[in-house]
Amino acid sequence: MTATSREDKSDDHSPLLEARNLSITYASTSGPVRAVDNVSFIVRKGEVLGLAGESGCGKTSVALSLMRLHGPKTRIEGEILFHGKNVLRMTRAELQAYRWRDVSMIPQGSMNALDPVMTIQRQIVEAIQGHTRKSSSEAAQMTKRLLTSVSIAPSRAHDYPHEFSGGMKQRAVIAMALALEPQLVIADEPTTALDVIVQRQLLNLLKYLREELMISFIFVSHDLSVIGEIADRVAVMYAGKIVEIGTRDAILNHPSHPYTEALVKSVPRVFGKREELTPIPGDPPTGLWPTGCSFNPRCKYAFNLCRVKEPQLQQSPSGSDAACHLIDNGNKSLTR
Amino acid sequence: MQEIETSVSVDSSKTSTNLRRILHDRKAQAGFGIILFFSFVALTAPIVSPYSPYAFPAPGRPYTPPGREFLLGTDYLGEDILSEIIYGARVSMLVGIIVAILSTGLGTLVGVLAGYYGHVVDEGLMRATDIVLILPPLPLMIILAAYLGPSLQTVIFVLTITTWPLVARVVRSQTLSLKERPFTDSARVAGASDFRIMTKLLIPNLATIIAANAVLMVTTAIVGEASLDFIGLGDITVVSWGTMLYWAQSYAIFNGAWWWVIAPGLCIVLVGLGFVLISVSIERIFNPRLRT
Amino acid sequence: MMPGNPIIYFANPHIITSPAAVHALEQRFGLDKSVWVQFDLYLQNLLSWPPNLGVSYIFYPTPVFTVIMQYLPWTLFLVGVATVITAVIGILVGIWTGSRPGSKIDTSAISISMVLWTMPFFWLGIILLWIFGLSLHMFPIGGAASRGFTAQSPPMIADVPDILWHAFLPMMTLVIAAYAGYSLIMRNTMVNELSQDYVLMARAKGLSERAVLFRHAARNAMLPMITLIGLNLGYVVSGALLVEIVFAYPGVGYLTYRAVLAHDFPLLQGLFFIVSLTVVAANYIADLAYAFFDPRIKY
Repeated sequence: MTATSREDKSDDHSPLLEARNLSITYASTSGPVRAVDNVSFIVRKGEVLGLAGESGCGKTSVALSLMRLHGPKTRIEGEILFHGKNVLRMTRAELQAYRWRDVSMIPQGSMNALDPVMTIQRQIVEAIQGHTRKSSSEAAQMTKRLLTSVSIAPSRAHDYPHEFSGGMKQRAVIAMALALEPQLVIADEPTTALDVIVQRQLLNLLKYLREELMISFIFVSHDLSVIGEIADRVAVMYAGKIVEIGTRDAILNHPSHPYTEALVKSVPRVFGKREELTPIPGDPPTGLWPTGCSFNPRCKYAFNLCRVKEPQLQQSPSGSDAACHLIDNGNKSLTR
Repeated sequence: MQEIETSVSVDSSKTSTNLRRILHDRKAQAGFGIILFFSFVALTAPIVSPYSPYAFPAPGRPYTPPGREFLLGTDYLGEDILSEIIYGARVSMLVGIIVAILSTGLGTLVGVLAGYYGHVVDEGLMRATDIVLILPPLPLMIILAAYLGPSLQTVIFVLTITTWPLVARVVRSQTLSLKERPFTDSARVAGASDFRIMTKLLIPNLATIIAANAVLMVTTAIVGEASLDFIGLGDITVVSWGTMLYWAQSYAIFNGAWWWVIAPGLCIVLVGLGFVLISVSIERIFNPRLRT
Repeated sequence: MMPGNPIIYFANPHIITSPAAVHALEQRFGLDKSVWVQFDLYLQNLLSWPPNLGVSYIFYPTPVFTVIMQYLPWTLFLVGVATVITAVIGILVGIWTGSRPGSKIDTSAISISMVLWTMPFFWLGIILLWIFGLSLHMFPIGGAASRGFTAQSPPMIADVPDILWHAFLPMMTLVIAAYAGYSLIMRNTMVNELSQDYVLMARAKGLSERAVLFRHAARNAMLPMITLIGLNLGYVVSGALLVEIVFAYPGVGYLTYRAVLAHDFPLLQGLFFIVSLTVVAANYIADLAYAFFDPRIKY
């Protein structure tokens, strides 16, 4: 009995992956830390969902939880449904089958994601043979093809990771992530450690994969401009919660949440008129969260209600869902 | 200078919290307990000990098993073993502590100098260290002690010589990594002398490593002293746990005097364990990554 | 080379009384020449083959080198096999405890290791000898074999069980006493490796926990272990010396003991030289092995 049925792909509008009320609590030496609080979102087939936010906002925690990669001491509440099946309740066997075959990952810092004492070839073949009955030669063939598709010469397959450049390692990891033709790939800060040129190549590659192979992506990044390049929909996270989620156009051009607006404004524009960059004052909360809306200490629109009551996600005029009390007033105060 | 010193990573309030943590750590408490007990016994030996281990004539009959009169039995001469243990504690622990202090001191000096100055100084000092490090410790100790003649000073000297290089290596690598940190550069830019940097900046940061190693070194030294005594290279006229085992090796086995063998060895293990516990506790608490 | 005139020790009044004899001996041992000439002679002797390390006082007139070579194989046997066993057990326990740090198994293993580490090698040896050798008569109390081996009748296959029987207790002592270092370090290395990104990747690939542990984490953790085995050799050899004394096992340790008792300085010097050389050579081999196994290093 497989974890998912591939025949379900026929319905393009049913969600591929759905997170419902996801909360993640870590056990730390100074007590339990809630890294993710009641997060919900949906990813559809062939769609790219961007997950944006500062470091420490919980986006990587969310990404890891989708494949249940947290340690045993971490408490995860809520549901993660892949084609309707709850990942958090899967058996060991189901989970091992689900991982990589249905959903794979390009982790943050792909530099270290490869085992230093194993050749690239062996690592990719391992992924292939771990899930299919292919023989070593068939797997080797597949590996060579995969490497070619990410512009790595197949002759380099027998090299060790340290013989690859940073960009090459990144692409090797992507090749590995695609080995089993998964339906969803989670990319955690894939462009962060790369220079701009390699970044461009990477984004083009991901776009190609999305268009040609109908692979969905969850693109996690703190860089809103990069997300803007590739995402269809964007979820903005702050202090463990989603503060706004909507289409790319709504988020980037008509942000409804003050944090989103601040993020958008902190990205310099290459074309168009030159504006002064406005960084967001203060630091994100660690441990002790402010009462009311967690963003209120840094929010320039904050008023009394913000310090008292936590806002819930509601639909805003631009079509996105945002958690801000300003929406009750029709959001007229947000400058654009 | 004031600003630089306060921005140094040695946070005094954190240090005192950590020190308090050590005192509350169960392992460390056990360790301290053991050490305090033995130290007390060693210091108050003349009062606590029922007999003198050198008593002549010997108080009991040879090879008496442990009983009410002689809690740990007697040795081949009839001397009370409990007294020997108590007096032996003085010698064994003293040697251990002295060696640890000398060795750690020398090793730290060499390590900091090598790590801080680098280049030629580093090369030269490390050659010396390597020469000693690569040689197996006991044969080296034996050959030195054989020429120097059996005595307590020889033992201390020989043990120090064979143990300082390890400390030097550890301290040097820590110094190297500390040297890379911004606060050393800022101190130098502000005009602090090398000596001041080394004493006020580097050493306090190295303190935990030095302390953990030094404490561990006591155990190594005590076991080392026992080994040398066992071979006959220590001063066999002095009563220490090692020399007790030296005599026991020849006489105890064939006379069935198991207590004579067990007692000193057990004390070595217990005291050694005490220091190890303290050392492990220091390491764990000051290096949060190791806390499980 | 070494301070003091060794002849003084040798020529104690019980053996030789006439100054002429002392002088003859000095000539024989080259002690009447200047220090530089002596040093030069010394080096020449060392570097020739077989190295001329002088003549042993105890086994006079057999050369030191010959004497040592008769005893060395036993020590190599003891140390070699013990190191392998200790390393294997230490690694396995390290993998096991490293994959579940903080658990009951882990804490008890660490406690046991701590106690074993502080135990003097020879004390453990005496206890084991007493219990298993004397009291229970399970193992012999000394020697390497029941019959003496000579050049005419060297050890043969049939002797192997007997040799192993004799070697069991000394080897057990070495294994138990030396185990602590390996298992603790392997455990810490494993904990370190398991927190690395490539382990996360391996799990994400849907590999079984066993594959993640052995095929990935342990393989990486083994590398520093190779270096450790090399570094620890000096320590294990030192322990072997003590153990040989306890069990009267005819290796270089036992020989050293006799040499110390008899003030046989040429023998002691020669022993120091050969033993150190062996350890250095073994360390070198360990370095080569490390370079061979770590693909990041060119050798």
